[in-house]
Amino acid sequence: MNTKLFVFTVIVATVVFFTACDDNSTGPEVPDSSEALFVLNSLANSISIIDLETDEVHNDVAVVGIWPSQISYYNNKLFVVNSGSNNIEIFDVENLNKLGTINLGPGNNPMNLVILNDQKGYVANSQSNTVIVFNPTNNTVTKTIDVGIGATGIAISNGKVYVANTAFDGATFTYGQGTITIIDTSNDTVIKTLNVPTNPQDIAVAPNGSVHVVCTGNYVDVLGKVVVINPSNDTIAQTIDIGGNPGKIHISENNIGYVGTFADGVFTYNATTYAIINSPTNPVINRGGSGIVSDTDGNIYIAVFTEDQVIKLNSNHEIVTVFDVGDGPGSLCVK
Amino acid sequence: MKRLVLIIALLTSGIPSYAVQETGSLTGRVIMERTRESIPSANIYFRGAHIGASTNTEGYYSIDRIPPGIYSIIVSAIGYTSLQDEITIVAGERKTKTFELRQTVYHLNQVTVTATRERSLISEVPATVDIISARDLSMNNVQNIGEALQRIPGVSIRNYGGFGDMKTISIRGSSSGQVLILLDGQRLNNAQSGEVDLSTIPLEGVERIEIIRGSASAIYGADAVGGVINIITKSGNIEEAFTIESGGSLLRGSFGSFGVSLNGGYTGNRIFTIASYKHLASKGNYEYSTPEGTRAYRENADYSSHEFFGKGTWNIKEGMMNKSLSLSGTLFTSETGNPGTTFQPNTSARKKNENQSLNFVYNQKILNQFNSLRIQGYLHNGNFWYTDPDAFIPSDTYSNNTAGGGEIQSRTVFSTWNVFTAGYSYRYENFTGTALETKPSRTTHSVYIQDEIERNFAHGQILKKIVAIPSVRWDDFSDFGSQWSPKFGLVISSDYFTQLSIKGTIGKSFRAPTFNDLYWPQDSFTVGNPDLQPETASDFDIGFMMQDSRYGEIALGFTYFTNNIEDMIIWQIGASGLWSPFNIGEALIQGIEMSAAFDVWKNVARISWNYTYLDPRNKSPRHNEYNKLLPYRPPHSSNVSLHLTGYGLHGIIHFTHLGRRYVTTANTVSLPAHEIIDFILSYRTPIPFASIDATLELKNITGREYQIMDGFPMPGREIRFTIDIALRHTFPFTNKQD
Repeated sequence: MNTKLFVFTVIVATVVFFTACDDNSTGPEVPDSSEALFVLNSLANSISIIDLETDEVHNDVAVVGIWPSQISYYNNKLFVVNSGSNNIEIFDVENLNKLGTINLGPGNNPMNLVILNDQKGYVANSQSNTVIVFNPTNNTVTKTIDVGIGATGIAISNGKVYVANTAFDGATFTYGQGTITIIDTSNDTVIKTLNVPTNPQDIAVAPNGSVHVVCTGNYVDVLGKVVVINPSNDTIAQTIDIGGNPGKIHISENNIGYVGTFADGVFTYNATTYAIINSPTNPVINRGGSGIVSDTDGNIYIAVFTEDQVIKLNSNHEIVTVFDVGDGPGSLCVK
Repeated sequence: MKRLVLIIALLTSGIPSYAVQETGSLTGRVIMERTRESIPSANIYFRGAHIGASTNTEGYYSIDRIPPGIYSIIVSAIGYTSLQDEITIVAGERKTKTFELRQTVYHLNQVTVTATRERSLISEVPATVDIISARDLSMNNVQNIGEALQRIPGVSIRNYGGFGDMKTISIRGSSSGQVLILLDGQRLNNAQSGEVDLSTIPLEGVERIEIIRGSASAIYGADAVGGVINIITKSGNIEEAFTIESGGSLLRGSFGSFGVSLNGGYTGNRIFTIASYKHLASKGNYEYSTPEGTRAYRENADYSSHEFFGKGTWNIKEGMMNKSLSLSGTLFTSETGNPGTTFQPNTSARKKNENQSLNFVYNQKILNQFNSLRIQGYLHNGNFWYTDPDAFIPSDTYSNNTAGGGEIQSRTVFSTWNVFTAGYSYRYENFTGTALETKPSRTTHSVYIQDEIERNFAHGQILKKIVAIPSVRWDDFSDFGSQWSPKFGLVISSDYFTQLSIKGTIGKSFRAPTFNDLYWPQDSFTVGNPDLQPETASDFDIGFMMQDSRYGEIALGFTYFTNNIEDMIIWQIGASGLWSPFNIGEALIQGIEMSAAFDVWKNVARISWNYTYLDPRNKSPRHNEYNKLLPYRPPHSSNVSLHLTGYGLHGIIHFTHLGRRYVTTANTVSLPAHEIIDFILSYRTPIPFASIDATLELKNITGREYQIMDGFPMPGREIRFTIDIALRHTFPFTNKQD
């Protein structure tokens, strides 16, 4: 009988012990730095922080939603767009505490957002072909605007929102006519739609206010282009045959345009003269490009999705540091 | 083919030490210890000589034409402790012997056929084996294979929701494609995806399910890396009497669940037949919490299935040179919605399965009674349709996977301590459909050998036995070359008051790259990799099983295992910028499995428990992966079951704990631990020539909200009521005496 009692005690103790064991969870600390780079790790569903004062990397400091696609900094807050979760998560930039969530509803597949002011932000939804207007202060949705098919990239210039519509047809895996929808932020109505080359995915605004759209191409026989839109009259001012299949674009304060592929490197052009500086045959770096951002010192940060790294280049495009970050780094932003 | 049969038979045949002269016979009865009630369907098996019989409904058996000699006999019945005894058969003598079996609380002494391809006691095979009997399935009101396997130590069922949602299996931290699923010894894993959706395997006609934990490529070839599930259909008892069986069941349950089944069978002299049909349906519209915190009902989760099973066995010739032929067939169809995830609900996606299988097995003695030949042939045809017209990326795909093949196996008893098995198998697999642009096919030629060497030692009253089993298999695939899979297993067992088996195995195994891995068509995002090689693994396990009856029944089991997997096929972005599979993954999986069972109150209350600790480490070199835990492998899982019997009622309370497990490779996101309590109460009413079983099941009685797979909510509190009627009439068996 004692044997049975012993076995019974072992069973109960084991269940209780291991049930209790499962409740442990601790997270890394958030660095106290005035200058930091935030990395959205797409596969880890997490945020990494690179302390730009000390070059220390703090990985996985916060967990985000499903299929995160963009991280953005605004007014001491981090906004994370989760395309799978169909929401926007807001974090306190100081401690990465979650401040709230803006639920956009199923079937939207949000990709990127841009914030106009404390009352208004815009998020492009690739599945519902809409832009949702939200209030970034009280985290509420205020309006839905129909745009083009596959709304993905979004940016603001001259009081207008520019939305890149890829026109991706999931049934045939082909791309229709790419367009840019232009929305007047004063009344949140569509004022113009521009036709652009195949598969416009991302938009950046140059220091002079011009709107630069990277059109990725079809990954097969149509190569990438950059279209420059004059925001004063919303016409195409220039088309740059950059080549490759870049899907990300960033323009530094010294007017260099960086376009990044997912894995094949980063190309550059002069955002004022539109002259290509680094083409696919001589990329500024031959890997990565899933996220690009620059700081006020002219340093460029490039996310390398396939190697879980962020590479820091100086303004001469020399590699300064390679940071090991979280799994599948994509979107970047700086504080 | 005849030449091949002869060659293999000659290669493996020997001149045994027994002389074939006049014969003797053995008759008698198998009864329960103490109560002396008869045990029907008990098996009496002459180990090594391949002679045996089953008891009839009154517990009687008769075996004629047995060559003279000293034999080791195994007497077994599901739910009872098997008995091993020695008996001397004298020419011309008709011996009578009664065997008494004790009801068991543990499977230690049950018989397995999967571990060595031959009937052996679990305590005497090196592999770690569990058995789920038809009675277990019935008492637990099991409706699919996933429900049947969910409480086995070392086994994790990845359940995506209700009846119709996908259910896959992991054993000892493996992927689902690293578990080989067999139906009567023939593989169900198709070459296209490599894995099996357990919700599409018919349960009708299942006699028992055998679970092998640990690799078994040396016996079964590709994909047996984590373990093997062998679903064995009813074979019937060839009696010298006529029995007609029929029955049916009716199920009603929560979420619009409804089921009905009918079966009938005939057992006569040398003939056994069975046919059954089952229909199961469910609306599946259970309530769950959305990520936004609101309540919603699962939409588009309806399920409807039809299963047919038929089998016939003809005992062509009985006695020491026996021959038998068995034919069986299954048909399974199902149609179900695909409700998607909580964050991406889907109201339009539908899927449909249509699976057929045919199987024949021919057994005969060749040259003499010590050489047996087994020939098996099979054909599996699986159709799968998936439509999702309203998705962002619409789908309308059709897949057809056809597999056919055969196997010829020879088994020779060289002596009482050496049994040699050799075999050759051929398999052809073909894919057609729209899911892949090409129509790939694969042929596999395999040769295997296995030697079972055993020695008995008597040390006072303690009987000791050592069994060593070296085996090796060579598989040659038409599309990626050949693989060698060696394995060695050793068991040391003793039997006094305490039965103890110390066992261990070491071996190599592999998983074949699938057609999807090799030939996935190129689109904007993905492309297959035709240069892939198999995943390879080296595993080792050691443990013990013990059973003690001095203080009533108590059984304990412990196993430590380790599996080092290399060249794991991982999809990642390649140089082309497209997602492709590569042989880049490595993993080291270690763990322990413990189990215990004992009678708290003899014949009234019994408790069983098992616990699995898993340490599945990713050894891929990337810094976000190295030494991280593999996703969806809970480090801790345990089950406790309390069985209560009395007043004609049988109650079972199951407590299941599944520990926290990671969702992401980088171990950043996890699903919380959960505990589920199920309660099953059944009542059997015996009436002349029939029995009626009424079963009430309360699943998840606390209404716990949980997910096993991220984004796929499991049903909450659920009630099922089943009534099962079994009619049986046997024409009396009159000419046997105790």
